[in-house]
Amino acid sequence: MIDETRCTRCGRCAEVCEYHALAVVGLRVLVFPALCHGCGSCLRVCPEGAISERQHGIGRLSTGVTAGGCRLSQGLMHVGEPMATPIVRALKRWPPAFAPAVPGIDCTLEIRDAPPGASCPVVETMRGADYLLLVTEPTPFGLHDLRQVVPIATELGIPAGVVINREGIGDAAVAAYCEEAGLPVLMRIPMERRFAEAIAAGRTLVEAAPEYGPAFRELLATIRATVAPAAPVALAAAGGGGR
Amino acid sequence: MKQLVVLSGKGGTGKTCLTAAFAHLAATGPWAEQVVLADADVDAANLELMLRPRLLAAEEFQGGKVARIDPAACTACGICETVCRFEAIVAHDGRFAVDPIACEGCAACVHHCPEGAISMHPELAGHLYHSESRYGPLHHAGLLPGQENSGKLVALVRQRARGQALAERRELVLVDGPPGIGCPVISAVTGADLALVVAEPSVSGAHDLNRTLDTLAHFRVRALVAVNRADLRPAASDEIEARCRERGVATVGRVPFDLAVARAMVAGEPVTANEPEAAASRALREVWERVSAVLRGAA
Amino acid sequence: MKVAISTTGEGLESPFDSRFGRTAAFCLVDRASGEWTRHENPAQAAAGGAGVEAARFVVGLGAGAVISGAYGPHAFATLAAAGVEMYLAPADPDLTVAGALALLQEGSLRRAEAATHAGHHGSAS
Repeated sequence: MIDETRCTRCGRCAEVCEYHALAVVGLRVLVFPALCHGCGSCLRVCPEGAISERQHGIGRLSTGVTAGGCRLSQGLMHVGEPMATPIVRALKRWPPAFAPAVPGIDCTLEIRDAPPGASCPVVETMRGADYLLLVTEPTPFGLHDLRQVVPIATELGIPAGVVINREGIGDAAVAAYCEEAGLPVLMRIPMERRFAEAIAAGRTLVEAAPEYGPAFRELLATIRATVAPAAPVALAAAGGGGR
Repeated sequence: MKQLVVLSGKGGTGKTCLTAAFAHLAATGPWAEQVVLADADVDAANLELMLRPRLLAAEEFQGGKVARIDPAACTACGICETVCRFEAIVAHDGRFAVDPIACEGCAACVHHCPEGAISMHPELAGHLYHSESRYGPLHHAGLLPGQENSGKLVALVRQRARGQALAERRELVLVDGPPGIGCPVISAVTGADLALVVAEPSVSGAHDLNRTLDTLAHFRVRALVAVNRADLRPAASDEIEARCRERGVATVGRVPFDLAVARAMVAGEPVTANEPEAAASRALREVWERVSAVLRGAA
Repeated sequence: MKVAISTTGEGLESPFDSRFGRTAAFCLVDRASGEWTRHENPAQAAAGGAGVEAARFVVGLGAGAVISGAYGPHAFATLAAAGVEMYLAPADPDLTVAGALALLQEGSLRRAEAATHAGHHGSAS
């Protein structure tokens, strides 16, 4: 917000703004909140101290407890807003998101569900995690997307493993890539219509196929052993579209 | 010239498979020689995997600028770290450096460095490609891992496709759009003549669809909806279609769950070309007939 | 008065570009003398805020009017604040810069009274 009584239209704020969120035209200073990234440069350079900030909501954080006793927290972006990364960043820092679901019990595992792809919000979700679980499918699409995300894991220095979903629909190229890249394939889930139906109905794979329970427990144990036994683990699961 | 954008509320709904089928059906039907393709899903640029085009040209795409600290001029005063709101200045053994992934390019550190040791540099963010596919020219792009700014790249891909369509008097630009509702989506839909939203009958499908339709309404782009894998939950598909009717959005058909789609993907072919008589292919032909009728009507 | 006309090309016979913020260039024509200069649009590849940057650019060129095909909310607000007249020409692939100027001279171009579309970045305002 600009204090018009103090502003001298010097234009310094518009000059430093890399996002063109300010324009000084004639006698007016225009502010475009949708373009603002909130870097604070304009208020620091204003020689008159005429600029102040106000919150501009771009999304909503919420939290609750699932029927199974897990805390579930999410960030939801408002329609028409361009930037998801600040919401991911805020969610990671929001204390209620990590309050124990049952008072007195410590949280020792944090699972983050990353957006698909390899863009900024994905990196922000992965940053700070102890382990990355990359979910893919044995198709050219799955391989393509996996090849995008693996270098980020390497750059962030976070150990990673792969789950091949919909095993059986495609070819062996994903498995070959994992071997070449030194990525362990921790689990394979076959393509079955009953799984697709269950997921569409909002049920989990383990609810639809209880025989997978032990395999998921083993998966988690493997990951915990890779990281640091008994330490709190932040696990980020990333993948291509809808894997 | 018409621009049709194919979208979905989230990834994995089969959007790209449907776009590839449309490319095949358009180019082998009355729109032959009239199609320009654009893969605007630059975060997961998969359309080329199904069309296996011949690459004609590639060029570098510079993304946003990021700050760089000249270690020789830096006195390690730490002011940059205090002004950066994006945690992009990292301290290492008393020295400071910029984490290019976290840097938002605001240049606050540049303006505040008392030594003038920080400057902004454009970063190579990815590549723009121009290719020739069996079904027409394809404009696509690849982002380097971890790069942002896909909204700008989307705008460039669309601009190239539109430019070629105008120059060669081609009538249809078919855009494979990004999933979700963020910046790249906005960039992909603004100014389009028509959007086809691929919905899924999943629990979150109706919710994802609503957000996409809100975005399209916000940008005043006319929307059509097709339900993919509709038979996995027929009741949910009914509900999606009912919601669309309430909103005044036309639905253009249902595509069944069909392993032929995955086989086509592995073969690098649109399903309508790979297995023309598969259930999904038959359904896709009907969907395309309806969409192209609307496109012609919008002429 | 000088008029800035968005164009994909080099001069008066080049195609008119119906985009404002991301047009390739502006042809700046003096309505009285007919003299013109071409100016590369610095906002063409802006990461964001192209409308604002392009608007500031044409204001800086001293244009009193603009002919383009569409104005987003940020461009509209910026040009309006500077008192620049905004004219709308049709997105016709055959229209040239000179053609758009002729339409303005004969008085057959409509003035944009409000932003013609929502912004690329989706400002709700």
